[in-house]
Amino acid sequence: MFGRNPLSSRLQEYRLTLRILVESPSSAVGLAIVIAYAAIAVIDFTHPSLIGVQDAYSMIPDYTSPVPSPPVWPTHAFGTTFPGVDLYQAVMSAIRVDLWYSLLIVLVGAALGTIVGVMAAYVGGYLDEALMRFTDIFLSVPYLPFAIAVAFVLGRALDNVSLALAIVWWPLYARYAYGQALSVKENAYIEAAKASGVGSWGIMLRHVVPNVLTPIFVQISLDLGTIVQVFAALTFIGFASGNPLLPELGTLISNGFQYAVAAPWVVFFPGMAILIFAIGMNLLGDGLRDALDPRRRT
Amino acid sequence: MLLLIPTLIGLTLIVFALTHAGGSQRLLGSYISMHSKIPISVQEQQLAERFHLNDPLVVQYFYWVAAFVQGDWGYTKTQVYSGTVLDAISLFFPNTLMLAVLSSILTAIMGIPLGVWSAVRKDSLLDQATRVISFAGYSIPTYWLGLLLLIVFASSNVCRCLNIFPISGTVSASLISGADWYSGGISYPTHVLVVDSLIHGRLDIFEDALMHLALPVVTLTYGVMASVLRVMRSSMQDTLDHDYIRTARAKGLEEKTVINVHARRNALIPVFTLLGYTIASLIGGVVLTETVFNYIGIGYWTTQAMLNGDVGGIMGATVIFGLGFIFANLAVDIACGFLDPRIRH
Amino acid sequence: MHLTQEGEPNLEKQTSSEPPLLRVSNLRVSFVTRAGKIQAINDVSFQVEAGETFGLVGETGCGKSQTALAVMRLTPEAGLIECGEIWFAETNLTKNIAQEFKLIQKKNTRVKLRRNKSMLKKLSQEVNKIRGKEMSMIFQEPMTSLNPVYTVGRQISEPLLRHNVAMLIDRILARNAATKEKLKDVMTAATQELSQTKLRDLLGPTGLEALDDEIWFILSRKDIGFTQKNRTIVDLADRKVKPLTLRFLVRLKKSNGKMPVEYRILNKMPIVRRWLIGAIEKEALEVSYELLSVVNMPNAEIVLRQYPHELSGGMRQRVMIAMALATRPKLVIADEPTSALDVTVQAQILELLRELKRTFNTAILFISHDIGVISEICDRVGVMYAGNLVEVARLDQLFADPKHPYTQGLLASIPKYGEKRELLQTIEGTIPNLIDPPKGCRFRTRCPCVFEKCSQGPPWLEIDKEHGVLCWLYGDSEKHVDQ
Repeated sequence: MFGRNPLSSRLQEYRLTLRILVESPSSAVGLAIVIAYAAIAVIDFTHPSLIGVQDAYSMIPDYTSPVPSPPVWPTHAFGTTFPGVDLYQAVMSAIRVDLWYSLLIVLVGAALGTIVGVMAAYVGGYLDEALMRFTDIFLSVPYLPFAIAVAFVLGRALDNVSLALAIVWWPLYARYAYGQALSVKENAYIEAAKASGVGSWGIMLRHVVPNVLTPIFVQISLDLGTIVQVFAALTFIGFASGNPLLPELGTLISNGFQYAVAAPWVVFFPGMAILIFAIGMNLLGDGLRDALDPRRRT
Repeated sequence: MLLLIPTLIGLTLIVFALTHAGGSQRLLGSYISMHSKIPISVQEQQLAERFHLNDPLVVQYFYWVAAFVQGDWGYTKTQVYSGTVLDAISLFFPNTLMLAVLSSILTAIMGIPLGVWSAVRKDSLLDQATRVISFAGYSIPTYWLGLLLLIVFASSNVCRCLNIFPISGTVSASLISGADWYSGGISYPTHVLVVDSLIHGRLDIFEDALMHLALPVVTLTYGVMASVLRVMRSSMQDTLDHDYIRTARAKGLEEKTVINVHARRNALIPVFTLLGYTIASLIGGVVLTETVFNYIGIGYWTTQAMLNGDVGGIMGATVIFGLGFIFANLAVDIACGFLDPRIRH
Repeated sequence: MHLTQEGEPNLEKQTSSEPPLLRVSNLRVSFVTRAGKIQAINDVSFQVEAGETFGLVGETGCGKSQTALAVMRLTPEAGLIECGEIWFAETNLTKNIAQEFKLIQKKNTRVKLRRNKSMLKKLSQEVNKIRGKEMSMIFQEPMTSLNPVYTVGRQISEPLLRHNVAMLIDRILARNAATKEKLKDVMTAATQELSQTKLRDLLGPTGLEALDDEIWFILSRKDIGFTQKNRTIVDLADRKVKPLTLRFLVRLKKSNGKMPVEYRILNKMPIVRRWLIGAIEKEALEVSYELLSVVNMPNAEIVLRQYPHELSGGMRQRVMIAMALATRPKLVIADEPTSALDVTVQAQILELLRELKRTFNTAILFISHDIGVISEICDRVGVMYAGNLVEVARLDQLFADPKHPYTQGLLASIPKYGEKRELLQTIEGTIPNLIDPPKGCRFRTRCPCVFEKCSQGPPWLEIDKEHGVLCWLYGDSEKHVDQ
């Protein structure tokens, strides 16, 4: 079939994917978790009071009792952390903050990387060499110290951390997209398209990119879990000092670091929030990858 | 292997760019002495001369590389240590190496067989348990795991009996106080506490150092092993679908032989190919683990440098991590050549 | 089992009292998929006698490869052997199937794939003693069927080391016991045209029978002259093994190839292991070298040390053939061995197989979609369509007098040289969906002779002793006799 898939059959493909996804209990759980987190983030953004958050953009300190106190239902469901901040509210808002930044990082990194990778693979020649060497330079440094160094240079603020991570992350996508695009390029249907007279850009956009996008999409969903972790790790180390009251999971953990031994809930809940999200995202990503694997679809 | 040179050059480019991107103020910060009689502005001028900061960037780059190659990697000034970066690295690196090597060995010993068994006994109880464990492993934030382990095993309020391990650091202060070969967190001569304690014949310190190592190693290993396990398992599954496994069975070989001789070696190839990424996460994990446990190593130094605004420290850490990474990748490439004869040609 | 005398075809046909080498009865295999149950093999029965070449021909997807895999008990995980029996010589390869499947079916209407898999694995293990030793297989794609990380020599040695350790030990011991004088005596009575049995007679009194294969191989070499061969043979006596190794080998032989207890610990140590097993492994490589030469591999010594990706397609297929013949099996199953090769190489491989058939006297179950290839090598042929065996006949019978409409259509569609036509002759229609095949005869949707009875299962009718057909056209009697 030349030309686009008729819309109905594309929709059918998506429905089949969804069906396979939901059939497997693990990926169904993953999907549920991710949806729950997304819901929290959105609600926190629009009507924070619905989930019990008073101020979505800042933690509210209570200097009268700065020492962390254990969970008390229902006033302080997660307890309080230094300095007297209600942990439940902080975590809820922090989820939104982390999710937002992580999504940004991954999307920007993926977009940048994919464009570079596909261009390099498709155009070939000098551009290919140049772009790939450039990418390789970035890949020669392991990501965490690299991110630390870049963030350090840019200055200690949350946005800079995101920028640093995006800078560190795009080469991975470039390499990955490059490989995918190369193998797609070798496929017969590209030759067929060329033979039927479709122009270069047309081929790249209509044939190469869509086929590269699927594995990239899977990779994004897998990466999102990782990025949330890495982002929180960077803030844990001590980066975001711009607004010390900005709720953010890594910051919460580092704030509670000193009290961890005496008051474990202080680090337990924020970490749990990260962990559950990572689990959900990984389950979903794995499930997606399995569902899209043509062998499993029969 | 030919790619080594351009990669190294790339590394220098990056470090150089980062070093000078922060502005000269930051760069010179470590060198400016507050206590010197020379006024700061004059110091700045002198330093600008010394570091050729007034020359075009490209020229600066070459001066920098020249200095770099000769061993001048800058100066670090942190709470932990102040001195040249090269010295700092030589002091901190052995401990980190020890941690990394121990974790790697543990990962290999546990991760590979588990991955093989899990794939062979697909969907069995062992497989499901392994999947869950491995899954948790690469979803969990490393430092958080470390914290939890600390809370539970080092200072448990829940149950005293679980307090097996010491809280932090590399060694207990009480034990070490008499030793003249140890000062300020650094032990001599090899800078690795475990080895030095043996050299000096202090078995009690040796034991203590091991205990201090235990939790960090577990934390680090779990994270890395989880991803190795995942790759090993999925690659083993793929390998078992290959035709030559069918041929091996057709030859009437025992299933044990089919798995261990034919399947495993082929399954290891993708694991090794991805080893680069695994090492990168190992390095990341090292930084976090050392920070959480106050374990004196390069990772710890990195975070201290960052908190103290010490450029030299950050850049030095980046350089050493970068170098380590590059050479580790080289070793992996060579190993891949051993495993897969197709690569050798 | 040794080489027969060269040039003497095996004229002894099996009498009806001797059981056939391979007997497949009422085999039914299906695959469970998301879309439904694919009935891949439907009530297939045939026999292969010792020493004969039986061909299975049919289109892609007709089930012929799966039949071969079922015989070897290599059915893939998703496959289900629902019923049937497969007998190899005196052994029932399917003895537990019936009970196990009743068990599964009682518990679940929907077959649990996991249980199926563990059961298949268990059956696999039982079969391992025969598989590779008496019965071996050559696969279609030699590139993917050879393990890329091990050398060719090692891969050919494997079945020898697994099944034929005693033979290898015998060779080593015989060579050890040989002296130059004894060998010289034997060779004085030998001539260039020595036959294998005569050779064995000559070696008998000296107690060196185990060397007959090696000597025979040297004698059949085409690259050196007779005097040189003589010298090489006599020099065999020079190759001795260390006394420690000798003692170990004698002990090993007594315990029938199983590692004796006292050596088990030593076996674990890598360097010591070299002393013990090394001789056997080297011997296995020797035999591999002989095998490679038998399959006409150029530069066999070099190839032994090479990896599969360094060889061409034809060479790889020769390696597979050498591997399959290593243990001198009674039955070799060849699953489209020439389909992945180009035509000239195809011809060489077929010629090789014919030659090997003569020298080794193995039975071959030859599977192909190309009836031309089948006609070059097979004695009897079975035609499969959509999972059914629709006709079985001798080769000449099949071509002269095809009974089943499908066979007729197949033969008619072969373009013949010298015949001028406008259009190629085809069989109308396409193969049916095996998830929901037509009731009764599966060919009836395309058959030019279809009539009402065809919607019920056609019987297997014997036209004469060696020609049978699955079709209503040839009578009404319900003689379901195994061929």
